[in-house]
Amino acid sequence: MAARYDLNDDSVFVIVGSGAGGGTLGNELAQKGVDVVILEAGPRYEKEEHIDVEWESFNQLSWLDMRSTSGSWGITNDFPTLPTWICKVVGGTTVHWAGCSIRFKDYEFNVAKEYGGLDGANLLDWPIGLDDVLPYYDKAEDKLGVTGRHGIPYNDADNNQLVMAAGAKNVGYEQVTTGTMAINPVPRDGRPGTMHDGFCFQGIASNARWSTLNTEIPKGEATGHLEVRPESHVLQVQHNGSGKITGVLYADADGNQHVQKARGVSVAGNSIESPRLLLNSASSQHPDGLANSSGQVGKNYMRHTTGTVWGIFDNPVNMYRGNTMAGCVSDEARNDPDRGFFGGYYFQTLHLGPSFMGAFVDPGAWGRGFADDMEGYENMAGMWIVGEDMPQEGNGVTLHESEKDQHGMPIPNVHFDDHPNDVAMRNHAYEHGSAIYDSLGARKTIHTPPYPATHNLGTCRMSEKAEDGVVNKWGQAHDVSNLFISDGSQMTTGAAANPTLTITSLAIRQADYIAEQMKAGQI
Amino acid sequence: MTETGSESRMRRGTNSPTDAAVKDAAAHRTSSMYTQPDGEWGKSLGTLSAETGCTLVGVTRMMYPHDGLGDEYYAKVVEGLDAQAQQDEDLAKLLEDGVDALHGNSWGDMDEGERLDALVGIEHTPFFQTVRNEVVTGLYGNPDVWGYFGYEGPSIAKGGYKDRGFNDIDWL
Repeated sequence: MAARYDLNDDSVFVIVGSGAGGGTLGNELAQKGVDVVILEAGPRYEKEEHIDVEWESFNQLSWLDMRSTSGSWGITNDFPTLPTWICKVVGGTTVHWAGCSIRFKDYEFNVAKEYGGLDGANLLDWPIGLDDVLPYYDKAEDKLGVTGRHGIPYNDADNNQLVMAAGAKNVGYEQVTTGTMAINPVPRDGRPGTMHDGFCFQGIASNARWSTLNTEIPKGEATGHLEVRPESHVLQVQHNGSGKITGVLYADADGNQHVQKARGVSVAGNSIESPRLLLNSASSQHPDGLANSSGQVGKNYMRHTTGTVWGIFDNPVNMYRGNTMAGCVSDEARNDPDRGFFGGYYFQTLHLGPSFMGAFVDPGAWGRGFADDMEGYENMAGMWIVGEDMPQEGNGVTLHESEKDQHGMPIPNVHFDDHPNDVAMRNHAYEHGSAIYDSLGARKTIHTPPYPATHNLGTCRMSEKAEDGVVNKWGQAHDVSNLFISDGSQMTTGAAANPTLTITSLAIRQADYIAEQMKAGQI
Repeated sequence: MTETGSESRMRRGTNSPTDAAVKDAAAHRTSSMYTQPDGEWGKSLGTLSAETGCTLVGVTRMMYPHDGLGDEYYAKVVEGLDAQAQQDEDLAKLLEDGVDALHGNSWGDMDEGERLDALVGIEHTPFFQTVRNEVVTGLYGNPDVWGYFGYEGPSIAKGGYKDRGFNDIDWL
C-alpha cells in the first residue's frame, strides 16, 4: 500500500512535481528502495473523473495560477495571462500530452557546433550526447509502450492522417507514418488498445495512453516507498549553512504552510514553475536565486517553433474521429541551412473540437469570414508544426516586480521574442503544410499562430561548465550537490522532437545516478 | 489560398447550412422572440434590461453569423452574460452602457452593413471584447450546436470511433 512519510523524516528524497520527469524519477527511485515523497501542487483526479468536454477539462486540469507575459510573441496580446497550456494535477502534463514519442537526433545534442555562431542565439552543446541517452531511450520506449518499438505495431491511420499522408505523398515526402506513439492498437501493460476516441488532450479516460498517473505513480506506490502528496504547492527550497538542501516549504490545500525535510530534492515543476521556485528560494548564500551562480536560472526559455495548418476541403474529413495526434511527416526534421534556417521540424496531425477551434484557430477573429470557416468544420483536416526554436538569453522567467500569488509569492513573468530563425522555420512550415493540403484540392488553408505553449524547455539548462548553465550532465545543480532538476527545464537545446520521451529517458538515467550517489554516501 | 485573420473577418461570403430544416428556418426568420424587447424572453432576463438583452442577441449573431443557427443559440449566450451580470455589477453596467451607446448612435435605424461597420468601430473596446469572448465559449461550446458543425462530442461511452468511422474517408 502507498507510503506516508512524516514531515520530519529527513531520510526521504523529495520531488517537486509528478509529471514526466518527477513521476518517473519517483517511481524509478522507489523501485530501488529509496523512500520518496512527491509534492504535487495540483489535486489528484483519477481517469474516471476526467471529462471529455474541452473547456470543462481545460478548467479541471490546467495550470491557471496567475502568470504575466511580455515580449513580442502573440501570446502577450491574445492570451496575456496564459503563456502555457500545461497541467496542475497529479500526473502533470502527461495527463494532457498526445503521446508523440520521438528520439532526439545525434546532431541535436551539439547544435552550438552544428549551427555555428548564430547571432542572438545562446546556443550551447549538451554535456551529453545521443550515445549517453540511447540505452535510456530504449528503456523509456519500453516503459511508455511506443509503437514501432519492442514489437509493438503502429496504429492504424485515421481520417486526419489519411489526408495528411496522401498530400504528403503528392508533394514528395517519404517519411510518413502514424507516428511512434505511447498509445497502442492493442493492449499493453494494463492499458487497453486505442478506441480512437479523440480526447487525448482531455485526460486519460480511455486509459490507452501512457501517463505517470496510470503507470509510474501506481507502480511506485505499490512498492511501499512512494508517497504522492497532492495539493502541496512548494513555495521554497531550503538549505543549511553548509549549503546542503534540507527540505522544502509548501502550502497545503487550506493554505497552511509546512516544511517537509529531505535528504535531497529534485525540482520538476515544468519550465516556468521550476526556475520560479529557485528564484523564490534566494538566500544570503544564493542572492540571485538558489543554484544560480551562472545567472542562467529562468533564461533560455524555449517553446519549440510551432503553428498549425488547417485545410478546408469540399468533402467531409471528420478529423475529430481519432487520436488528437495520429500521424507524422519527418522529412523536414533535419539540419539543412539551404532552406533558410538551422534545425528541423515535424508535421503531426492535430484536431480540436468546435469549442477550441472557436478560441484558438484565429485568436480574436470574428465576423462572417471566420464563421464561414467554422461552417467548414466537418470538412477540415489539421496538422501541427513542431520544430527546434533557438534559446535566447533574454527569453525566460523572472519574478514579477509587484504581483504575488495566493500564497504571497511573486508570480512569474514569461518573456519571449521569436528569433529570426524561428520565424523563417515557421514560415517554411506553413508554406509546405499548405502545399500538402493544396495538392488534394483544399479550397482554403489557414495558418494558426502558436498556442499557449505545451512544450516548455531550457530554463535550468544542463552545461559542462558551471558558468554556462544550472545543472550538470546528471541534472544535478552545479552549485548544490543534493539538488536536481528532472523536467524539460534542464534541456540545453530543444531539438525538433516532442520532449516527453527525452524527459522520461533522462529521469530513468538520473535515478540510476542518484541511487549510486546515495549508496556512495554522497546524498 | 491562405488569409490572415483580419482578411477572413472582413470577407462577406455565403455559407451553406448543412441541415435542411435549419436552412428552412433561416429563410423564414426576420425577427424572433429573442429580438423583441416586449416579448417574454426579454422580460425573463434577471439583470439585463429587455432592450439590452434583445440587442445583444443581434450583436452576438453579427459577431459570429451562422445563418443556419436559430436565435435561441445566441440568446443562450446572452443568458450566460445575464447570469454573470447578476453577480457582477461592473459587468452589468458595461453591457448596459455598451448597448446604450449603440442605440445612441441610431443602431435601430441602421442596416446590416452599417451595423457591422459600427461594431468594427468598437471592436477594441472592453464592451465588445467581453461580449465576443462570451460568444466564443458560449456558442461553440454549447453541445446543442455541435451537430450543426458535424461534431459528435464525447465518444468513449459509444466505444470511441474505432467502429464508427475513424477511417471512413472515401474521396482521397
